[in-house]
Amino acid sequence: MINEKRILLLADDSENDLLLMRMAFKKVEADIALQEVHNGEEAIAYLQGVAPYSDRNHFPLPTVMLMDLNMPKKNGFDVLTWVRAQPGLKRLSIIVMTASTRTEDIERAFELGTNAFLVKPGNLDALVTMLRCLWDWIRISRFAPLDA
Amino acid sequence: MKGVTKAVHDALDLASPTVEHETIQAVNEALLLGSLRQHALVEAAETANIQLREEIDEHKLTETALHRVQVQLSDQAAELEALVTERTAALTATNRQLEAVVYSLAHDLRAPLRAMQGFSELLVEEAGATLNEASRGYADRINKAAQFMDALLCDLLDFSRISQQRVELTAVDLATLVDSVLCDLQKDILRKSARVERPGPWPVVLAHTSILTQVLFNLVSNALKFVAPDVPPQVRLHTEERAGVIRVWVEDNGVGIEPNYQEQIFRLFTRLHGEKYPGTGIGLAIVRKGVERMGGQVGMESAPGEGSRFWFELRKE
Repeated sequence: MINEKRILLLADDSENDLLLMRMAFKKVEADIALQEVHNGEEAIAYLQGVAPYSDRNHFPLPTVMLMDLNMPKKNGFDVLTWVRAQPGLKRLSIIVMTASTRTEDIERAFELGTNAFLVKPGNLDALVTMLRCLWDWIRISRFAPLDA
Repeated sequence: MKGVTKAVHDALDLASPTVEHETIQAVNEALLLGSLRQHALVEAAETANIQLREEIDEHKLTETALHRVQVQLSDQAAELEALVTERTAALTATNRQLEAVVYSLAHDLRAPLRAMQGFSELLVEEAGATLNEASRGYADRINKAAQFMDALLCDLLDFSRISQQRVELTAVDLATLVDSVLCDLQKDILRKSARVERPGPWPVVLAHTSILTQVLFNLVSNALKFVAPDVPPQVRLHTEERAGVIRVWVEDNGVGIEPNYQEQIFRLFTRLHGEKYPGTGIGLAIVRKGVERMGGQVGMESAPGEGSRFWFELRKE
């Protein structure tokens, strides 16, 4: 597992934020494969491996999911609830990364089983610093395999 | 003459039957008089009774009227109270809605700012060599403006959160809290070669840890910020206790504040300086709102050029 390529699933409806995260990961020189989905329904479809994400060679199960909370169709809370109810996925590491700083959102996200809660930084430098920490954490961590 | 009267009396004394008769008559007369007097007394008592009854009736009428007025009054009071409750609820709801609007506005406005800031920086990084100096300057201005607006929105979000969140007071150890705030500001303190003294004493107060941290952070970072150029900041933190209330002082050697601005500076978006001391004008509004939410008060003493002494009060644990 430690030598396998780490896969990060980004779930965010903001194309700007997705592009900025890709640029920031590039600056960090993280050896990580980035996949992206744009709302909660897509995130669930991806994890389930249903169309258009049925090809696991193209859409492998992620090591970690980095997820926004405020997304259309199904939001981050809905996805958290769904994931934690799936026997094969409940061990998936999920990191919420949102613009919200509301205490209630933080409490609820942890209650629903997020592994961490990050607030989107206001500038690129801070984002790079944050993603560097995240990459270091992913690099040194061991993850339980998923059997979905 | 005296002699004649005496003779008559003596004569009368001898005539005893006549005396007896006269005595009976006198007694009869006295009895009659007594009975008349009694009758008069009874009559008077009866008149008094009637008067009394009339007075009682009158009193009862007054009492009934009074009672009626009282009932009316209490009805009106209840009505008023209901109205006040209703209006307060409506106002609270409006207030909460407004605060929620401020929150989502500030929240949603940050998303395009992240893009402006991030992409203007990437633009300079990737095309910087082909841009002329003026163009790089423009990109830099976009970047700085976006960053400033982001700081503004973050402060506004903090303010709105402190206004809205539920606040439960617990025992907070000031010593630990002061340590952690100074630790957070360590970089700033070193960069400005500031001297920070903290003689205390530091008791345990009733507060909300994260709000109190923000209050103290804002006050100390202001003390480090508003100094004349090339003057190393000197900050002194200490406390005073009076009747179970702890007053925390944050004193500096900064530029000071004129008396006519000393109340104004605690209001939202109030700024006294231009770009020399950049800021959002929200920091002290957060301080006041935060202390008020913890049931305390804030204030300050200052004179231009003589530094400022800010204080806030919290109850002792």
